[in-house]
Parts: sequence; C-alpha cells; structure tokens
Amino acid sequence: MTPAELEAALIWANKINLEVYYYWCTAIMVLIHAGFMMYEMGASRVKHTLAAGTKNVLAFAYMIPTFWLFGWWIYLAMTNGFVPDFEAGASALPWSDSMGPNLEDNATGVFWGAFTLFACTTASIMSGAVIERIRMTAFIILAVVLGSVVWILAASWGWHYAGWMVTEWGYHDFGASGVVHIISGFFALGVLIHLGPRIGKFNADGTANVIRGHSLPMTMVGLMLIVTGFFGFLGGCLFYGGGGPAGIGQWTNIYGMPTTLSAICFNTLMGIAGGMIGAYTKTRDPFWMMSGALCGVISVAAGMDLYYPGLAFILAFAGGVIGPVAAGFVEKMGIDDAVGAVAVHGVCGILGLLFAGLFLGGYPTFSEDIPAVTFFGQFKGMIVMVLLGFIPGYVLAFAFKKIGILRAGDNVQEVGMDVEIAALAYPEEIISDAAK
Amino acid sequence: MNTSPIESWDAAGAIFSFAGGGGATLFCVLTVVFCIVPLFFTLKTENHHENMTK
Repeated sequence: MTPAELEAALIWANKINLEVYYYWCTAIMVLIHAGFMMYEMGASRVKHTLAAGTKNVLAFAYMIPTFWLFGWWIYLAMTNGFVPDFEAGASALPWSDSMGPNLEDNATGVFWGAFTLFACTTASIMSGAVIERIRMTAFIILAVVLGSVVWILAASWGWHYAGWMVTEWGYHDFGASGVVHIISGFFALGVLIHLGPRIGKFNADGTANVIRGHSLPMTMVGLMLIVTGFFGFLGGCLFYGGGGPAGIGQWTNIYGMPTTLSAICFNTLMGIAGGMIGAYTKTRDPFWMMSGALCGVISVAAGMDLYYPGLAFILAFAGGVIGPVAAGFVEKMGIDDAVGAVAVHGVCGILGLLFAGLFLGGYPTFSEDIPAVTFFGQFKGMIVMVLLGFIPGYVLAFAFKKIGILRAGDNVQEVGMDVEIAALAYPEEIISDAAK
Repeated sequence: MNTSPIESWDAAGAIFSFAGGGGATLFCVLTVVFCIVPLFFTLKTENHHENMTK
C-alpha cells in the first residue's frame, strides 16, 4: 500500500467511525425519552397516566419530521442572529441532496439525527412541567416551536463554531447547559405562567399542597434512564475527527477545542454523583435525589470538557442543593411546576454557564480571532438564553390561552386527562381506588 | 414507477427516490400536511371530551 493509499484508507475509516459513533449516540439518547416518559407517567396521578405518556410519544414523533423540514436548516443558516444565511443553509433544505440517503455524505444524517434527539429532549423537559392539565394540541405546537425552532436557534448562536455568541463573546457551553437546559426551563416557565396550576395545588391563602404521583418507583427508574441517556447526549456534544495527526481522529468540542471522551466520562460521572449526594443531603427525598443527578450534570455540563473532576463534583453538589431550593422558590411564586423543570433545567443551566465563566478563564480558543471564555461573556450568554427561552413560551402560551386551547377544562381534569385516550393505564379496580 | 435518480452505482451521490426531481418536493409538502391534519383531529377530540364531561 502506498502512502497515498494508506492516507485515503485512514480518511475512509475516520468517516465510517464518525458515522458509527453518532448513530449509536442517537440510539442511546432515545433512552432519555423512555426515561422522561416513565418519569412523567409516574409523577402523574392514575387518571392522567396515559395522557402524560402519550404527550411524550407525540412530542418525540412530531419533533422528527419538523426538525427535518426546518430545524436543521435553522441551525446552519442562523449563526448571525435573526438574518438567515441562505447559502450556509442550502444543504439543510429538506429537498437537498444531503437530506436523504447519499453515498457521498456519511455525516449529515447522523448529525441531523443527534440534533433531532437534542430537540426531543427540550420538548421532554417542558412536558413534565405541564402534566395533568395542558391540552394535547397546544402541547404539540409548543413542543415543535421549542424543539424545532427555539432551541436550535440558540444552538446556532451559541453551539456552532461560527455562532455569533461564540465569535463575539467566547461563549462556552460544551454540554448545552444554556442552549438546551436554560432554553427549555425558561420556555416551560413562560408556558406555566399562563397555563396555571393543577386543580388543588394551591389553597386560597396561596400555600401549596403536595400532589403525589402514582408511582415514585416508576419515576425513579425513569430518571435513571435519563441519566443513562445523558451519556449519548454528552457524547454527541463531541466532534470526531480533524484535530489529530494528519487531520484524523482527535476529538474536539463543538467549538473546535481538543478534548477526549475520557474527559467527558470523568465529569459526567462526577457530576451525576455530586448532584445526587447534594440533593440527598438537602432533602432526603428519593425524587429529588434522582433529580439531583440531573441538577448536578447540568450544573457542570457547560465546562465538563475542561473541569478537574474534583471541581466538577463540588459544582454538581452545589447544583444538587440549589435545585430543590429553587423549586421551592418557584412554588412560592404560585407556579405549579409538577416536576421541577424550571429549577432543574433552567436554574441549574444558569449555574452551568456561570460556573464555566468563573472557572474556565485562561483557556485558549480554537482561533486567535475568537475571544477567550470570560465570566462576563458567559453572563451575557446566560441572559440571552433566558430571554430566548422565556419570551416565545410566554407569548405563544398567552395566544393559546386567549383562543381557549391551552388548558383542559376543570371537568376534564377532574375526570382525568386519560378520558381522551382510548385505553386504560391499569385495570379498573385499581383505577377506582387510586383515582379518587 | 421509476423513482431512481441513478442508472449506475459508479460515482453515485444522492440515491434516494426522486432525488433532484419534483417528487421530493411533493413528499415534503405531504409531510407538512400529514403533520398538520392530525392536529385538527386532536383538537376535535379535545373539544368533544370538553363538552361531554360538562
């Protein structure tokens, strides 16, 4: 074999490795949705169980074609802000040669797939907050706007090597603390303000009642599945190839800075553990102990490609403590967030960006033209993410509320949202006791 | 129906049915339609149950 043939073979192997890697990251990410479905069904009362599950399934199903139709185009075309770059987006138009089986393009399908699953995750984050009272039509449209428009616009700005937040502020968000979690958490907050609480959540004097889901074990297993799926999610935040010897084989983050899978392994696990222990220390509550794993990993996600594992553990511990405190604060504000999505994803996402601003100073970026990570840059990025998430959710939910399609009537809620589902979650004798 | 965009596998690129033709655009439009129409059925079901449970 000549050196030229050897180089060609290496490039070909690199291409196939990339394809295989993202294909299986995408498959593992599906576990996040299995997890969210179990989590939310368990957190629902019996009479709402299947409605919660169906909502998850439809969010997943709707995200895929809509992300194919326009989500991927937004990512490639909107890096400058609100003015599209039609040339950059041309290959992402759904009728382009790259958006289907193509022997000359091993990359687009698997990248599109991974990003689609990120979009599905954003919708799942919102869906838990709104269980037991949102109408399905409104939910599907909100999910599509969140997953196939808002999150991917945020990603184009802050999770793309050419995104304006990256090139102007040095925004660093390796594991999507901002572009996925802040966006979803604050979108959910905007929706919740108009959706209102579940019947019986708040008393006349404003105090809150605990509404227990029908299966905490199901919720806990669901959360563990989400944690498992995070390995696909965070693995999908890496880019394979281009940075090593002969331009082949080194991992980089999405900004082109070299990293390793080992780095992600260290800090994903330390983040999960820190969050679990932090939340357990604060609450002794198994629900929050598992949600604490999410709090922890989200709190370190932005900088987990660079943190020392001991630092990641401590930051995640802080996330695990702050998450439940933030959820209590949200409840005191009169907002019924059934699963703590605003706190876990929104607030811990903020922590993730600010922690990266505090602890990642001094690292060089992939180009001399790109500013280094600074606390101020991260802070400005956080403000953009909060507003970009909150405003569309708030405005759209307001519009749906005005035309009367946002919230199910009290009568439907009393009977149970499952009245709209042509099936029963459990045998009748269980329902008759548990649904009371 | 011949939907193949290629006559040979040599140097083939896009190989999906209707690649480079109007058929691809047609199925894009149909995808949009088949995403939107079920929403109306969902809305109808919701309204039906809202009224039925009053």
